[in-house]
Amino acid sequence: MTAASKIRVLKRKESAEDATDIALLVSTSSKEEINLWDKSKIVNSLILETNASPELAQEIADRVEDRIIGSRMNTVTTSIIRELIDLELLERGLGTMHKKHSHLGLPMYDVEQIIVSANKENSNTTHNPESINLTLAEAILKDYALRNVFSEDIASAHMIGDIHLHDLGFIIRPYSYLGDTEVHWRHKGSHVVFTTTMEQLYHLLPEETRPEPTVRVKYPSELEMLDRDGGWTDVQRVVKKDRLGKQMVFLASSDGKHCIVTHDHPVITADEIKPASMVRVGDELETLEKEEVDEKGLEQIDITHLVEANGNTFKFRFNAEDIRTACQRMNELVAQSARSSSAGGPKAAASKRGAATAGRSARVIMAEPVEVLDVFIYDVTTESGTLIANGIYSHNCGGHSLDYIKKYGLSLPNITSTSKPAKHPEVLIGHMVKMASTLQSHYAGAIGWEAVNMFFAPYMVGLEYDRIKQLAQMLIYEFNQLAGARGSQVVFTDFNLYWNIPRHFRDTPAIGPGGTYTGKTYKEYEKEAQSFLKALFEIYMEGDAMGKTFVFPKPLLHINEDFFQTEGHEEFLELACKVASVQGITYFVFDRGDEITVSQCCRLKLKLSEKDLQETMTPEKMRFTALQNITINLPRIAYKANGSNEVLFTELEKAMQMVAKAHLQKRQFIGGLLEQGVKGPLSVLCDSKDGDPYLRMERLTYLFGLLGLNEMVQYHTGQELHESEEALKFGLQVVAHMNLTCKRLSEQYGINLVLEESPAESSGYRLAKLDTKYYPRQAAQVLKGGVDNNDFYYTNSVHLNVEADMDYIERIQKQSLFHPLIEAGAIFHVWLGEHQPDPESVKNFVIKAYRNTQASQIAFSPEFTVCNACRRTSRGLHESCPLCDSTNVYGITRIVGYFSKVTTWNKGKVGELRDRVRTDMKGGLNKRAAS
Amino acid sequence: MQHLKVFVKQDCPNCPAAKNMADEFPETEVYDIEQAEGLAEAAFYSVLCTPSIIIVDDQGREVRAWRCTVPTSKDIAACI
Repeated sequence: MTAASKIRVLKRKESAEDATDIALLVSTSSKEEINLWDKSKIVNSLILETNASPELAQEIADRVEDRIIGSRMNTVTTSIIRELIDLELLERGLGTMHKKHSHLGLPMYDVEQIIVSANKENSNTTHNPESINLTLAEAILKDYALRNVFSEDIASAHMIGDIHLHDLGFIIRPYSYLGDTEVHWRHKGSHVVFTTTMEQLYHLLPEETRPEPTVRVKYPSELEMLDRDGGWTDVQRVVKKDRLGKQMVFLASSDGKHCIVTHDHPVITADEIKPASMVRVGDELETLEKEEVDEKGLEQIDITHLVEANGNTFKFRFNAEDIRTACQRMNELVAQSARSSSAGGPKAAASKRGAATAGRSARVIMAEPVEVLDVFIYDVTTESGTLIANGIYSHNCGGHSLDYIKKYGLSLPNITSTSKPAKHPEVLIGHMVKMASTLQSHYAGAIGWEAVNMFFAPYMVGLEYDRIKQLAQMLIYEFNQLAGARGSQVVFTDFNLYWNIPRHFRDTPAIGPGGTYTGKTYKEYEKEAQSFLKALFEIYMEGDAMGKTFVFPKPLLHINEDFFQTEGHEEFLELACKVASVQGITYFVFDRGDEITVSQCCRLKLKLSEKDLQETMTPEKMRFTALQNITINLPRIAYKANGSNEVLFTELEKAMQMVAKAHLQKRQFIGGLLEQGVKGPLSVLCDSKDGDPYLRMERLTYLFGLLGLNEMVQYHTGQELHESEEALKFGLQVVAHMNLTCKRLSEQYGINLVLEESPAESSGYRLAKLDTKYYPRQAAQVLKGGVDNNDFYYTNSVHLNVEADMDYIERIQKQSLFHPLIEAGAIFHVWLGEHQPDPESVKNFVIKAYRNTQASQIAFSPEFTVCNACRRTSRGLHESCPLCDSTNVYGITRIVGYFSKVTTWNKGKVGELRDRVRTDMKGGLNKRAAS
Repeated sequence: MQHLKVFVKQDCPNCPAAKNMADEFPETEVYDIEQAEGLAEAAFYSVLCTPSIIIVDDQGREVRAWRCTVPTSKDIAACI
């Protein structure tokens, strides 16, 4: 017997070839199996995993065998063999192969720590079997991301703390029509109607406003598209997207119409709206017949052939020259018809008379999956939300968060049964909660819902207030307690709420019970929306069964000029301020957009047109549709600059370039997963019947987080932000520089990069800790909190030092100067501690903050002690319950943007909590009132 | 001594007029809000659009402001 054949390999049963096998393995990993030594397995694995040549693989296998024999071991584990192979690869300088071959795993000790002690990275998670699973998985995925998603320089910048890459996870899904779907459109009011394919329409339009690699959008200003019954609807945007391998469905009707749509495209049949994949032969469709309609005096011109005359390949149906010719011809025709509206039909190629009017119904005669080669798919968004495509009355991707569920019911790939649109408010709440929990499992960040009280309003018509309140209670509890089912994290939810119907929704057709349009606009539901809003705040006021404040959904109350013009706002504001004072949960969001749009030009912030508003809902939303947040360690840059302005701005530029590069790498990774389409891991995001407003690819935002501006400025200028005007101005200069750099990089890379106040719940501590390691002397000079007992921290984002002894009016005036520069969202915290200020003071503060500062959002944070023994909640943080003296208590207050148990906080945050200057809101306000 | 701070940017139709008028007054400072320094100064004075003109005292405190509008030189002279 040779020496080599004596070696036994101790190995876990690992025949895994794909993810399914590996997943199965986890559950049976206790089974161990002893194999006989087989050198060829090393050879094979090297060839499979690293693409090594057979010769090299053989050479390495020989070396490894020699080493094992030389070590006189009788038994080796596969991980030792893997390490030995890695060593061989490294010795040969084969870094890339080593990276591919390396092992991702956790040391025994770490696994044990994760099981027995709670993860404090995110105080929103509890410690339970599910969260242990998540933490273990996250540890592997983080490692994977750092080694395989991001390049080495970026991974290393993260590891040493120049930047912090926040959680993995986010995406979007596309859907739409195939490019050769015909649509009928005209310039507003023109007599000339054009028939082109969607693809041609897209290419005939001028420039793209937001180029994205996988989604391109154009916003034509003066186009109308043929809608049902021969009516016209404004075109809002035309979208071109990567098909990403989505299954397409071929639909044909009994009157000879046909179209190809993505399998999840909403199709309007006589009975209901359903995804194309569920349309059956025999379903009734509304179609449109082209008939002679001379009485309307419309001319129809089909330029399909004109632009396709020179078509060559399947992918490139026409070239730039063809488009130019078509454009010229189109303009000529429009001009002709303007000169003489009664002119006869042009003699252009393939022109025909007649436009469509009468809608009629036809039966589906064929609905089958079809294979197509097209790389791109197209969609047109119209004002009415519908259009005539290939003669079939269809839907486009309009709709708003809750309206989406109201209209289509609930149908998700990860939930086996499908619901029709809700007829009752309770059912709608159920749909909303399930949708939120599905979304949460695909996102790292918060899920924001737009104008919740308004979208619910049509369901509240004619209900008694008691019942409305019951519904409000159900909604809040359902969201809060969803964590129980998921076993890990509370679903981080934001409700955007309005007392006044926001302008951009006033004329939006309202969707009511059963998913049908009520025939009214949302403006007409203001009273119901207000009742529901009032009910929600009354429930927030009561708190839960122990009187404790709710944590989610966070109520974001929008304040704008219209708010102050709306009847009953005073009384409601008093309620909202009382809730803020007692429970702290109200968030006041200031939309000063209307004021800004009064002026004609040259705004600092991007002007939002009416169209954009419909598209974007609210700017706050943008941060929830972010692909990734990456935070820059600002103090570190000051340490590197060592007092030199020049070096400081150069280093800042370098860090931002690196962040942009990291964003691009993340996007490429996610794009790769999306390419797998509905069969891939992100099927939920690839698969949707309708565009989901907060998930749209072209609205994706890439965030630049800021951390520790205060400490950066302190190290660089010797003074903290609140200590002198020079320091404050220098801080503004840094952020202004970053704001402009974001704009420049956005243009350079074609992605939307914006600044955000990073919540930095854990990254603040992590980066500070790394600085004590790499820049101990410098960090010691500026770190806040206790350096000796390890609860040090950097001040959040651009906030002023939490311990600074200054009144809150001065604090908000200074801190809010930064807000217009931070477009993805900023918040001002008022720490109340055990104080419960007069709601009137809160109200004055809110109004003054709205009128006299640039603050974009404020929140008031009281502290509470919750007693497990007497099940009551009292004000302030105490060691024992003030009501029953029990020590079985826990404290809660806002950690960053939300409330959580203080015991789950990381050390840095505990340090910050100790330092926070609390206010009773008396001194500062009086001072202000006197001025 | 009071003086003027003028906030402008490129491609802003009313900016040249504002700048010309402000130049009539001594020690006028012109800030381009597309440059970091100008944008920082604009943020400091809560200037969100151009053209804007702020009169400040010798401590740099705001005395009078015209945000997003162009005053007449008479308006300015009356305050300075």
